[in-house]
Amino acid sequence: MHEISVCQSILKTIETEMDNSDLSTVREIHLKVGILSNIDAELLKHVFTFVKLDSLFNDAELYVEVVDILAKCDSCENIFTVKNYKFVCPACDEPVINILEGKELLIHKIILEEPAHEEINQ
Amino acid sequence: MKKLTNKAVGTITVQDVSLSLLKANDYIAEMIRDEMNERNILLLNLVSSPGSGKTSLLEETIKRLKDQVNIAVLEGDLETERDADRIRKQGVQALQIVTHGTCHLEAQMIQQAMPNINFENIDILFIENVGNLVCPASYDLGEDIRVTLVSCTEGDDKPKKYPSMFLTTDIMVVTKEDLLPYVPFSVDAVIKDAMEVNAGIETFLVSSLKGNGMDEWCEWLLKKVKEKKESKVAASA
Repeated sequence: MHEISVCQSILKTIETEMDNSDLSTVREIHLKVGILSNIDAELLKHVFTFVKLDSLFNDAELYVEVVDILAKCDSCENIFTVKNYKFVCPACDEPVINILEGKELLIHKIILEEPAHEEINQ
Repeated sequence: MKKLTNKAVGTITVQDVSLSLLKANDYIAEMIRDEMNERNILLLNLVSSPGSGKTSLLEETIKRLKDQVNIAVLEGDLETERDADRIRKQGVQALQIVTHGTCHLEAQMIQQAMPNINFENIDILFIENVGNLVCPASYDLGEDIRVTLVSCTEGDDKPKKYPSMFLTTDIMVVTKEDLLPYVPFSVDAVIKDAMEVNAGIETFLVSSLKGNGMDEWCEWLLKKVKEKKESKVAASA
C-alpha cells in the first residue's frame, strides 16, 4: 500500500527507541510482516534502499520475514494456516475469528556493529 | 596508520525487540477511544471504495435521524471540501480533513481535527474515510464500529479481493440496492464471501436514493447509541 511511509516509520521508530550514538552502527533491521498487513516485502526492501540514503542508517540492510496467517479454532482448538483468506477451520468447519499471527508489522531484531577498539582510540 | 574497517573487527550486537510500526497510530487511537467514551459518543468509521455511496448514506441517515440524535461528521478526502459541504447542507456539523494525497486517515489526523468540533450533546460522530479498500484497514481511528460499504455496481467479489478490510469490519452495508435488477450482483454471494473472511460480520442492504432498507439501518444506529449510553451508566454504577 504505502511502503514509503512504512519505511520512514521504520527509521523513525528506531530513532525514537535507541540511543542516538548507536544509530549509525545499525547494520541489519529485521522485520516481521504479516500477510494481513498489506505490505509487499519486495517493494518495501526496494524502497528502503532509497529511503535510507537520507538517513543515519545508510549502512543498514533490511530483512523481511513474511508471516502467514495462523488461526486457532475456538471450537476444536485446532491451529492451522489460513489459505485463500478462508477463515474456516479445516477440521470442524466452524468459522474462526481467533487470529494468532499474520497481522503484525514489527521490527523484531536489530543488529548493531560496534566500531573496533583501534578506531575509537584514534 | 592504516584504518581498519568496521566489518573485520567490529563487535556484533543483536537486539531482540518488538516494535510495532503502527504503535504511534494505535496509541493515539486509544486516546480518541477514551475521549469518545468519556463524552458518551458513538464513533463509526465508514470505509469503502470511492463512489460506493458513503456520503449519500450519511446524507440520508442525517435526514432521518437529525430530530432524534445529534450527529457530527469528519470527512476524509485527498482534496476538496465537497463532501463536508454536502453534509453541512443537512444542517449538521461537518469538518473536512484534506489529506493531500495520503491514501487513508490516521488517528493523528482525527486527533488534530477534534478540537474544532463542538461535542456538546453530540451522540454520533461519523468518520468518512478516504475512498480506498486497502490502506484504511490498517489504521484504527478509535472507532466503536467499522462499517464497510459495498455498492452492487462494484461487484460481489470485494470481500475476497480485499480480505484485510473485511476482516477488520463489523458491519457491511450493501448500497445502491435499487440497481440490483440491472447488475449481475448476488447479495447471497457477497454475504457468503464476507462471512468466510469474518464470521462476525453483520449485513445491511440499502438504497440511499430510494430509501429501501434505511429504516433498518437507522433503527440499528439508534440501538447502538442507546447501548453506548447504557454501557457508560453501567460502568459508572
